Amino acid sequence: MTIIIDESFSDDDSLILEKVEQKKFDSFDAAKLKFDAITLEKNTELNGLVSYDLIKDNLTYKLPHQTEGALHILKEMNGSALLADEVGLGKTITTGMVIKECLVRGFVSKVLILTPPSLVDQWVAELDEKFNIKFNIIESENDWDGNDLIIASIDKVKIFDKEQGRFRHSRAHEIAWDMLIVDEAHKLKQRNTTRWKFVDRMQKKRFLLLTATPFQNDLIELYNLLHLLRRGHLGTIQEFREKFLFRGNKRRPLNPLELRRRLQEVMLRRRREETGIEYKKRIPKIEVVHLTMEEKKIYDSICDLLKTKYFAANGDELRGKLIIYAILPKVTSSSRSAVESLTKIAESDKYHNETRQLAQEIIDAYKVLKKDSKIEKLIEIVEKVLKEDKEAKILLYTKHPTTLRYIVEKLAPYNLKIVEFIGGLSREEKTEKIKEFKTNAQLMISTETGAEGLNFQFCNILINYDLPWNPMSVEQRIGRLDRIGQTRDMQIYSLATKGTMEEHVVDLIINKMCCIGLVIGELPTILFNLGLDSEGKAGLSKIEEMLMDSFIDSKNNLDVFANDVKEINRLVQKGIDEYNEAKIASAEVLDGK
Amino acid sequence: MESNDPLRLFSLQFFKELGANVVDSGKNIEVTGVPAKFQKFYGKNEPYKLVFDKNLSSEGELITNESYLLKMMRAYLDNSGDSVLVSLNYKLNVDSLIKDNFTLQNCSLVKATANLDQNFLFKFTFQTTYKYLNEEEKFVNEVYVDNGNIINPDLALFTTVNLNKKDIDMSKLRDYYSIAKESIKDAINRRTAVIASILEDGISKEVARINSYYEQHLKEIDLQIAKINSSGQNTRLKDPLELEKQKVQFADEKELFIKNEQKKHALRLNTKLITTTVMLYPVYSVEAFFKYDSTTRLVIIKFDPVHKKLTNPTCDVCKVSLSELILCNGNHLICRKCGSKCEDCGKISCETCLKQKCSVTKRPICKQCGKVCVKCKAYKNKRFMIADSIGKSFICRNCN
Repeated sequence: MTIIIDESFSDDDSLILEKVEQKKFDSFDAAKLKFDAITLEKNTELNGLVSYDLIKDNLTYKLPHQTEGALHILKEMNGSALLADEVGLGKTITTGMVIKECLVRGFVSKVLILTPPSLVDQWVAELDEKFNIKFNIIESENDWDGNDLIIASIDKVKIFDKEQGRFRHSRAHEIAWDMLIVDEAHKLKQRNTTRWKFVDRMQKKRFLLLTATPFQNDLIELYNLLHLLRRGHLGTIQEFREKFLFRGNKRRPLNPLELRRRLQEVMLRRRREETGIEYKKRIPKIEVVHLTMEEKKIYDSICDLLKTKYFAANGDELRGKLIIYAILPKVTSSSRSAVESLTKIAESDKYHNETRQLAQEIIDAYKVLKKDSKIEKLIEIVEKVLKEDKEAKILLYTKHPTTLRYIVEKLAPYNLKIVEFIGGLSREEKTEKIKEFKTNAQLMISTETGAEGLNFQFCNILINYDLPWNPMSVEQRIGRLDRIGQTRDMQIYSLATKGTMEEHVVDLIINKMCCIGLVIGELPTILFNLGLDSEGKAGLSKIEEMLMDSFIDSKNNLDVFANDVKEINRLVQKGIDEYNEAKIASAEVLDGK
Repeated sequence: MESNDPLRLFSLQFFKELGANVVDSGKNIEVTGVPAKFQKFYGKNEPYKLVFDKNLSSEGELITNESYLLKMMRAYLDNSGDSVLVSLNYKLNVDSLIKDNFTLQNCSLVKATANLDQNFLFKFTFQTTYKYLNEEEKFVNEVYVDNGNIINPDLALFTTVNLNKKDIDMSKLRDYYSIAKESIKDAINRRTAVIASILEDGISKEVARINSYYEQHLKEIDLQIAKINSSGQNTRLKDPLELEKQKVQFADEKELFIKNEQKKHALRLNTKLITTTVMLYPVYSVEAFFKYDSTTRLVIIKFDPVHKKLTNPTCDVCKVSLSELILCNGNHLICRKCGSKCEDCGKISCETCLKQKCSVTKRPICKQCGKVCVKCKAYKNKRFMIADSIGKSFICRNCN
């Protein structure tokens, strides 16, 4: 087989000759220094990551298995591998190191990362913040040209246009990629899916498949994955069946040692116990808020406004839904943010008179309200936590800046050292505030956008004053604490108002999803496996949209809503069970456990 | 860490050249006042604490032959030092030059002085970078071109001095560059062949795997087709036409994977000129005075230390190049072949000086020993002659 040799002489030579002809000379010392540098610089062997110096300050923890893994993939596997580290070991970081090193050494220029929809932004942010690499997101079919470093949602780009008989994003197949990375690659277990075919058709020099669970039920899934990575590595499917499959047991290989040996040639897998990384427990603490009669009346009025009166007045169901999606989180966040939202409705002539009137009535009811049970519950929690541990650090989350300010006001009489953390802070301001929280303050009150991507592993108490209905947002909140370096179990307080839909949502998201003993990174995988990690029709996360729809459809009947939540729970639990099965199955085959 | 560690010395020099403040504590080098341009280029703000020991890597920027900062320093220098004018200086010891290169057979060196002239040559420094798989190799080739010829000078004995200006004819620079470029192709091709053979081994294995897979797969499909054909209409089995279609698809697929492997195993090499150095070098013209008996002779010897070229004087008689210097008593510089002894005085004389024989003794004698009789015009040994009162003319005893 002939080798492609691309030989060239630099076009810049002429510029140097021109300079000499014009007798523009540099100093001999400069030339000597340059020559010394060339002589000293050694590139012949890949013995270490030259780019590590550039990123090491951005990494909170220096974990040898990550650098070793990146080097192994590049040196021993030529940049093509199945990276099957257990969850929580930082496959993204290892992959980022591989990309950075290849870019710095000039091995690659065109890199494509295919990820689940919910992880697109996280990948972009992580590669930017930790590796200083700017990736562009594919939004439309025209985005493939002019960009070398690309991240795309695999669900978006894999679409096959049956009418045209081609992939909608077939441009991706015309590009010769220096490196292709597929995250959550276990979704490529079926060869007859468009997802698998889309990836298979890519021209790629280096190819990384990332998954902690390469197979779940059937060894054929593993075959399909490796078939994609390295054609013929495990022979034809018939050969694989004959050599490795037990009749009647799809999970147990006939020849496990030989299979493992073959896997090791293309796979890098490390287990947590090998790395010494420990994960701490998330202890859910649901704090029930009992509303007074007056508060319950207001709450019912709000539900009535949103679910019944609003539609009666408007008629456009989708638009109505979108407005409810926007208003509901605000009115349930705090009395202050509720009044703020209701005032906007009451004062806007876009709304029907009946709607505006009802909004005004609720505002009036708020004005005479003497008690705020939710804030009282919060004060009770904070006092309790600080009583138990004077040194405790509490991270309190709310979705809305209005609620944040309200909480700060209400806590003012208690002489607590509080740091406010909202969106729009500069990097320096953020650093200053984190330092303040770490060294002096007892409480940090933050909105989601405020603390995005930051690390608070020195704190182990989190309070969800209000709870996003998107489990991934809650996972992000907890993720600020649940990081490598967290030394204590985490207490996750969530306020749930008794007798409201919130009670059920908190139970679903906290007790059934975010605090069930999963390691960080597992919930997104489970939701991705279930196809629940992308956006719904209205642009919210699918689970959030399902809950919102249920809220609207239940017509103020809490039992109906509770049943819908149970149904979501059943679906999620199925995903969790399948995921756990896959973990066990993968460990059995890959690790011989 | 030793202070003469080349990495340390280079780093110090680099930041000094940038105009930064450099404090070398022995353990590390602290750098501040780094120009913003370099900070941006490197992607990291100052101050920099440079360490050279792996054990201290957590304390600062570790500089090794493979470190990123070194790579950046090198890259930062890319656009500097690419055209240089220097003078090569040579310490000439004239006496040694003569003594080392000439055997003074019958004479001694009285005095020698060297006159300096300058010539110039071009040094083209090329860097070739080979990139393949996840490897990168860099090679530097230096080519010296003097007057259109490639030379390999040994410049160890020269010192280099920076020059700013000199009137030099650059009209043939590009021709010389082409000659230099052509000359490194052999070296490049040799390395290319080595790497290509490694890559060929690698790709052969990969292609064999792909071929074997598809061959086996096609065999399996053919078996399936045969089975279907022999079993007649069996709806549980696949449509043979579908299977035939699959075979065509497999051919395309196979081609794609082989192409992928070819791209993966491709070798990219790029050669670039990194520096052109115009070198002025000395050419000496040595004036040496040799003495033999009562005669002294000036000999001009040309010496070009770059080419290690010495222009030897030639024999006055036969014009052969001389490494053995013989002066005849007629002040001629001669070779051994062209010199004989005067049979009268025994001194070395050249052919020219020993051309005539004494008409009395019939033996060849030198011009000092023989004279022509003003009367009989015979050439005779001075012993047979009587000089006039002023000693200018001679008359033989026969004619006296």
